[in-house]
Amino acid sequence: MPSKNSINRPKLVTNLKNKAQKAGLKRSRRDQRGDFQPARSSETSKSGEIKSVALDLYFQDEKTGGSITNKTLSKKRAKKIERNLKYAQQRKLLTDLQAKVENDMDVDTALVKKVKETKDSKLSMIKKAMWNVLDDTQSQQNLPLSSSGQGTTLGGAWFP
Amino acid sequence: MELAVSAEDTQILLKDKNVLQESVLDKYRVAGQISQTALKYVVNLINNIYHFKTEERPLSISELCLLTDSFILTRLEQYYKNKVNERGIAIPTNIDIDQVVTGWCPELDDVENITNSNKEQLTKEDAPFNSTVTGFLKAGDVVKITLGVHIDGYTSEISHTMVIYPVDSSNVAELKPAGPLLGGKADAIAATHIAMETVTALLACALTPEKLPASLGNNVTGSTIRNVVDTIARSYNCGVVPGSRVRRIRRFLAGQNEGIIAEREYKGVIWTESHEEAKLLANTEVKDISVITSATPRVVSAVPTDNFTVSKGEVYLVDLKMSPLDGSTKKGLITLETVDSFTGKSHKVDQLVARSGSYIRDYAQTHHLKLKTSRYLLGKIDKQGVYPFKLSHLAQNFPINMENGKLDEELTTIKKELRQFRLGMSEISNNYLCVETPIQVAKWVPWEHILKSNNPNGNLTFDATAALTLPGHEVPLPKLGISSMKLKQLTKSSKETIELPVVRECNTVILCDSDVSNNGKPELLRLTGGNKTCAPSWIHSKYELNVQEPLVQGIFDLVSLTKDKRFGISIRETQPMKEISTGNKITTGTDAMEL
Amino acid sequence: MMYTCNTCCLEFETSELQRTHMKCDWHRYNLKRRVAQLPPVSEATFNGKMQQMKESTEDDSAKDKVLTKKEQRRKEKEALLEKKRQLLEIARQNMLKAMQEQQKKAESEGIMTVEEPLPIPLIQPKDITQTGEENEEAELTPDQLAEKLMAEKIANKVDIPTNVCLFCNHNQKEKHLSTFKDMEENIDHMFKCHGFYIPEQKYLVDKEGLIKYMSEKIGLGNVCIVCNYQGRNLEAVRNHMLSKRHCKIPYESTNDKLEISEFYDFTSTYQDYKKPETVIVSAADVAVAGEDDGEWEDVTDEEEGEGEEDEIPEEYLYSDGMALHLPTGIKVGHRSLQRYFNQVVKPERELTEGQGTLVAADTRSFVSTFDKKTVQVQQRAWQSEVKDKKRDDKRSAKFINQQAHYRDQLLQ
Repeated sequence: MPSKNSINRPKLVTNLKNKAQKAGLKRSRRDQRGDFQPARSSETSKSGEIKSVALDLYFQDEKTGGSITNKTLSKKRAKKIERNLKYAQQRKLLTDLQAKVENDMDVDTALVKKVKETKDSKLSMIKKAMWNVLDDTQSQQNLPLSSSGQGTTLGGAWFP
Repeated sequence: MELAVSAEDTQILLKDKNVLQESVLDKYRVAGQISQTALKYVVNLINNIYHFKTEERPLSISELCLLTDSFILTRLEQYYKNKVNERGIAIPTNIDIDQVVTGWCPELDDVENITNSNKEQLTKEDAPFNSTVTGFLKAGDVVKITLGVHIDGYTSEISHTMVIYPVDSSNVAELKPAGPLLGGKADAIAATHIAMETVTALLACALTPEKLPASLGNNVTGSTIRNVVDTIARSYNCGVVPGSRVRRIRRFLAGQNEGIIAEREYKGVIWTESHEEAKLLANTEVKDISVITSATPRVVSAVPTDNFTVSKGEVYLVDLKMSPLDGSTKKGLITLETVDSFTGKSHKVDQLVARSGSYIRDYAQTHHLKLKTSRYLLGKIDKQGVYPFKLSHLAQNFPINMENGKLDEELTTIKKELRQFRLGMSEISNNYLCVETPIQVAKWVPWEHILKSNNPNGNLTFDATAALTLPGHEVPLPKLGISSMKLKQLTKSSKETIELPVVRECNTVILCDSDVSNNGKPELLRLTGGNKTCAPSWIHSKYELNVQEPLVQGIFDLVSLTKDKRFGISIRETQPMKEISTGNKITTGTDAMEL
Repeated sequence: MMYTCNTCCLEFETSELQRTHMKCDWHRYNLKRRVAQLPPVSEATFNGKMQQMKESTEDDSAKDKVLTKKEQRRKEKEALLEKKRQLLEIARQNMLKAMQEQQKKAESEGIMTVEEPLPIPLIQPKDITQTGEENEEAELTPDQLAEKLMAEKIANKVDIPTNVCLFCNHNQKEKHLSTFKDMEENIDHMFKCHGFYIPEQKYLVDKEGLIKYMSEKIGLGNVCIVCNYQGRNLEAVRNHMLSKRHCKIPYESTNDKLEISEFYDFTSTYQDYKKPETVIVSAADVAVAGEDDGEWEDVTDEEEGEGEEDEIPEEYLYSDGMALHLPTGIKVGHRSLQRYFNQVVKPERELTEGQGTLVAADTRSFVSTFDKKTVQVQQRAWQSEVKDKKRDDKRSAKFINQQAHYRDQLLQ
């Protein structure tokens, strides 16, 4: 049955043509919008920047000789933009502060390692101590009077 | 649990019934007498068979156990006949040899199985479990006889170690042992005997703590007892085998089901592997650290601790097991290994394959059984009581009638009944209504081997076949974080593990206050033990107590106190009954003797 | 805190008082007034208003009574009877007038038969009624129809005497078969042949009256005593009763019992019935008794009153929904609780002292403390795991047949 995954159906050329057409349409739409206007090579190009009609209108202050446009900036949108600018400023201040504070201190890389050490150090400490005790058999553990004393005798030559 | 007992009943059962009164004391006394008499009976039997060789037909261990139980019941028959609801055997007679610590009371029909599955033990004479498997003792065997009797729940338990000697048959008229026992076993016997006497004296001193020697402290606490026993063991180059305990017992709660029920208000000193570990690390800086900190919620009073004081009016069970450490110069851990009945293991000489003979009923479990035989059996078991029992005790012609001398016939009838019982018992134990009393063997593992082991899973493993453990001590080595499963594996994997011979002494003592004692002074009534029945066998140990140590001096002071009749502490012993020949009605002759 | 009623502008001490007030009619009336935006009314005025209403509606109260069918029928019958009588009266008077006129005429003519006047009064009312009918066809109301029927019935009335069987429909020749010596024989015959049983004979007071009532029903009303079959004449209704075996006095429902209750006396079965105490009165006391009749009665009344308090109704049969309590004391359980009566409960396990001690000392419990939230979180995590796995499986199954490279099946 002919489908996208069928192997022997000739679809290479048609698919390519389709894609090319669609790409062309997209390009023409963008061109109409005016996205290509300051060319990418120029300094005033908006390549890589945020493309927003509202922001443009907010910042433009251009009075283009009363020609009609259909690009609008609603008051609501304007208020939002104003608010967001404020927030951005506050954020900037905060990061500046933090950077300042952090710059005065050194990063503590030893903290992370310390916790791990204590965890298995318990067991290793115990093991170490035990090894010490076992190797210490020379001291003190020799039973006193082991051979010098008389020993202990219990019972006697009868069956209890 | 499904079952619960009301608060008033709990108060009565646990507190009021344990108050020492004349009636209670009398029951204890009679129980003590009977247990002493029974011990004497067994010892006589063994002497007759192996030392005096008066018996034509030597009795095997299983037969000995059965006969002793039978004797106890016949003797008990005459006392408190219709006055008490429950009386009987508290602990079925166990005869453990050498390395077997507890639980050896094979049924008559198990003898064959044991010999069949332990053929390696029969080949060599010096195989560790040779006597155990054959059922007949030989010279040099250290035999531990344990039994217990209860009347109305008031229990008296006794365990005594005796040695089988090669008989000096030069003088036929007067048979005597060829010579004293030497070596590690002798050390252990000496240590155990002395420790037992010391602890008894210590408990007696608890009645009048002002008389306690200064080096032992102001009060008799759990730690005092522990220190004393450890010192004695160390002096004789022995180690205390885990499972030893000095604990307070109550009516129906005499330590017979320690791992099955988690008894509340457990008052006693116990010895486990964790204590050995702690002792090793006692003087190091890590003595307070342990990898495993138990976080599971449990009732605090059910966990045994050391910080209790021995007080008047209590009954104590002193159960000490020691084994010599002269097997190797290294330090090692003494641990217990449970013997199971799974055949087909790797046929090593150090393995014992056997099925335990005694069971304990777990009354908290209920299950509707499918087989009629098992239901019938369960009915019989429930009438028995809360103590461990053997299936032969439920047979029709038990206790055995010894008069007509037809022992073999009686035994065969019992065997026939056992066949029926076995069928029922399998369903009962599969549903956990009854638990087998474990057979335990003492093993020694060098610490090196344990320390060198890598324990990646830590404490995540749990050994379901492990022997019954006390609450709070489920992990044997908490400092190292080694679980029971891991420890089991370690003991099996090391090539240096040795089976250690164990010596056991166990007595029951009552701390009588002045209002219940005979002469108005507070005294210790020793229900079992003493010179008449638990006299030590002829041994010579090369070790002795070092008088330089302050603790040892305290021990000596204590012993001299017991001998002081006027100002010292008084210990009264329970004498066995005079007539111990079986089948005759006896008149009790109890004469109390002050030490 | 004071309890208030805002509609009636009242205050109460306790909540009980408030509640009782809220339930009373005065409050309800006030509520209605408030709805109608009128000021509330005091209790006195309300009572006054109620009284006025009562007086005005007393006349109408009779109309509001709900009458049972039998009572209604009886009333109708009586009304009809009344009207019939009136009609008869009118008819007679008319007749008399007519006769007088005729007599006058006859006297003048001199011919009159004596026999005629007899049937005439019987027939004439019919004619009159017929003429009446013809005249007033247009104005026939149900009442007048009933009156007409009633008149017809009265005309056809056959008075069955008490010694004649009510049911036997014999022709003229055999009439003697159903005539008996007295009422008792009649009753006996009716019982044996037709199954006519008189219920509660023990309490029957007026047997004759009962039989007469039955005979009136059959003879005058021509109605079956069991069902409400209306026969055109006595013969028809008798035939019906015989063929349908409706020869019994219905005594099932309360209405049936009430219908014939006037012939019975059940006072002896009443709860508070006291047998008239037989007082032995001596000659001397008679005079005294005669004087102090009122006081004597009062005393006995008082005694009876006291006695009543002591006597708890013991011999009472009552059911309380779950069981029937018989007067003998036995309780009979209801079958809806059958499953509980048939339940076999496992007997409680009795522990011996040893077992009890062990259980009391045991601290093992299977209650594991678990945190509900963590368990829920864990379960959600598991669920999402399973879902993801399923999702991934489904997605990967789409391209299972995907072949990256062309495979020639005929590769040689």
